[in-house]
Amino acid sequence: MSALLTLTWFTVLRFLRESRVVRSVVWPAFLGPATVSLTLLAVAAWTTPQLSVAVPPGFPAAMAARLSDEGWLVVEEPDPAVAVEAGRIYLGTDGETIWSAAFPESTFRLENVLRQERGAAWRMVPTRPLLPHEGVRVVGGHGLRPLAFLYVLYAMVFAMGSVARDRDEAIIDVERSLPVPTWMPGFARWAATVGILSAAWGLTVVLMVVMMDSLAPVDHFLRGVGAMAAAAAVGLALIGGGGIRNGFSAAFATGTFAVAGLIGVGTSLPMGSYLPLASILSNGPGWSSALGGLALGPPAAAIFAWRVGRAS
Amino acid sequence: MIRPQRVASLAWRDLRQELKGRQGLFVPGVLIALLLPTSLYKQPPPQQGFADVAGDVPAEVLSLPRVRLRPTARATTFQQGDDELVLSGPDLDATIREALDEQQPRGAVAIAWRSPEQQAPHRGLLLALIAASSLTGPVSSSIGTERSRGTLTSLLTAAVTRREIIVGKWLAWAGFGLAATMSFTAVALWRGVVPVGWWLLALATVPMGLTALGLWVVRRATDVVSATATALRLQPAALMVTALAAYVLGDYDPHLGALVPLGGALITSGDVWLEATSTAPLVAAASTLTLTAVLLMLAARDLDESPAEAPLGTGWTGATVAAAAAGLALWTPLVGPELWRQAGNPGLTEELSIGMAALGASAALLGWGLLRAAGHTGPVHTFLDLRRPSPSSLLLAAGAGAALALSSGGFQAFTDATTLLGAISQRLGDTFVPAAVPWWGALALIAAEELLFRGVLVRQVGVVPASTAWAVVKAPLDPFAALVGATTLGAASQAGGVVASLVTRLTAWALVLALPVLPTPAALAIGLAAAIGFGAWLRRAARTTS
Repeated sequence: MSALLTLTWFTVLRFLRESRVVRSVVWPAFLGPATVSLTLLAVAAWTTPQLSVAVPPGFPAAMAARLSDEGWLVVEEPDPAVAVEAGRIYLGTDGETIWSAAFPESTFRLENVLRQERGAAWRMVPTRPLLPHEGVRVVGGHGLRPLAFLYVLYAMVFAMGSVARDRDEAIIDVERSLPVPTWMPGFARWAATVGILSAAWGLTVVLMVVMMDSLAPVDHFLRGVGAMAAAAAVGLALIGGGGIRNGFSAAFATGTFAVAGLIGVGTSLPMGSYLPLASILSNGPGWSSALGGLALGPPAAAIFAWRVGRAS
Repeated sequence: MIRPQRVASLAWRDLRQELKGRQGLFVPGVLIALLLPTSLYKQPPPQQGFADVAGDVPAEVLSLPRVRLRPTARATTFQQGDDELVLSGPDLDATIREALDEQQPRGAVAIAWRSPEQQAPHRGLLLALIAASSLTGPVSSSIGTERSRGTLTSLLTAAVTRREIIVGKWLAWAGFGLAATMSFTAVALWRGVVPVGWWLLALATVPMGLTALGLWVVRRATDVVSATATALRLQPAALMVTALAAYVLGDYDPHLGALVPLGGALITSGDVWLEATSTAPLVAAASTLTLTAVLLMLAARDLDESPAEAPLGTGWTGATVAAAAAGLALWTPLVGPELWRQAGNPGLTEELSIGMAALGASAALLGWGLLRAAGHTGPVHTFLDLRRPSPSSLLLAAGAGAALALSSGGFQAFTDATTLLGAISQRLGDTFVPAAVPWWGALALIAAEELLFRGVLVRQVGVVPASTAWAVVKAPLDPFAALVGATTLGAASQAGGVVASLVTRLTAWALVLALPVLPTPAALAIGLAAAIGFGAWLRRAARTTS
């Protein structure tokens, strides 16, 4: 047991001492909140400027005054339609027609004023439905799914790549001469991968909860852990044979395809939401995915040991 | 000088190495499995959805096809007044507008929408994206594996130049990606999934540009793990950012959008810009090929046998780097929720817990501290300032805490919370002496900040730069708070390490909770006096220590 812990701990330290690996693991945690923040900043900036509208010479003064009263900046243009078409302004009107390259809300606001002035039979008051808290929570949960997929890819890469590089540096041969069971080095790599990525995934979930109060964060976390554990197991099992001899590319392509395929197939199954990998796209219980994924580690380590033995 | 024969043999060597044996068939196999369905599938024309309506809906509107009575959040609501019909909602279906104007033409206003100059991208974009993205593995392992196997050293000492090595590797995988993209695009053309056009030119440059970008981002990777992790992080980000920039700029002028390297070519591959179907692809191809050449040159320049990891900065340089990282860790959770209010949804900001935000910030800071600890190899005391403070140090720390608490009435005194920056400053101010945060969040935040800034960073960069970094991160828009915080906590840290600075923070927190806030002028006076006093003490103590 102490040998396994030592091997796992030193694999963890090795990962954490590589700045490129650390940067790659940490950035998805900030990707979601940073994207939401930038979007909100853009929305805040977009809603601030005064709305402007182009009108032709001779535009009724009363209508222009009403528009100004409603907060519009009225700009005189020889031909408002041409001004809008040329992109000089987003909205233009002659009082009867609106030429618009703007969002519907601004266009309908202008139309509402014009129709009121013209005593129209009907008019439209535009509204902007605010996303309710529950809606934001659901969106926040959905926002975690692509990030979970990114961590799943990392898990596969870490499990595969840690073997491929140790093969290149002859560390695999050193490991095989150690007085430990043959499955242990593979299992240590799998455990280190799952440990590091789970911590980073936990931070990702926490930050999304802070930003959007994501729905069912614990289940999201557990589903992610299960998916990462399963992907790391797939990576470890696949790199063991030909991957040891040939290199990383083919094993990486196969692993990516296998993981994406398992997600796709699992999603189409009735019990898919309980399975690791497929569950990151569902709302199934987190515990089944986590347990299922973690249970794949020992068999993957055994397959790895068997394939390494055959390959050498 | 690049010799074509050597470049070709290097390319052939790379392809043979990665694609040899039965396993080597998997890369082309995966490409076929992904690209063949993409190039064969013909999408049925899209159908318009229902238009939901509610309220006093006129019969002529209800009789329209696709219109259904359903009071959803996005439904158009009708309200019949004495003399007019008032509609409300986020949008109005064109058929409803037409029917209403036909039945009730009085005072009608027509809307002429500017015809869009862009269309949704067609399948070419997806083909380019899949083919180029599937090269992440081979491109990443190309340099990383050479380095970890030690074969890069042989190459660099052989009679080939760095440029020939890089161009050879690029030729192998850009050529492979190009062949795959164009083969399956030919299938899509044959099936009539996409039309023939100049966009094919832009499409061809996407795998070339992305392979060059891949080689450039992994040029310093020491092995396949760091190379692939880096590529997985940077390639999608570069594609997404440049494509988004190209799409937005293309709305002003398609040529401006096409000029964005990589993203311009990707968007043009989808034949998005209707008004520049021939010139935009030429511009996009030229910009992406230029970027390709630049990236290859830069990758060749940086191709070393064993690139050294940049050491952790010391002094003010290290403090600046630390402030940037801590800024990301703190501002993302603390400021982020405030932006909902600024974007027009204040209710949501109120509902998002500031305690959770403080916990998130603590987790991010502690994670950063753990990463630094993992990279440290000496005894703990050389990494973490955990000395046992003397009674006089503790007394000084408590005094510093009292000064910090008494001057808190002057924090945010000159902030206009109605502006965006003011609101952000106010939000950060709420966590400076975190009286507005639930106790569990406040304790976690104080502990994480002190461990990192006064525990770890002090050992690396010194007391004054570490305290300044903390102050800049915590109160970037409130110089008074930053000054008082930096001097009082710097003095406490100098006197008794992280334990003393924790005493300062906890004293300040407890006093702010217990005592009424002083009037602003008194708080400002106390704060300035404390800054001068503790600053002078810190200066003298730092000089004595050094």
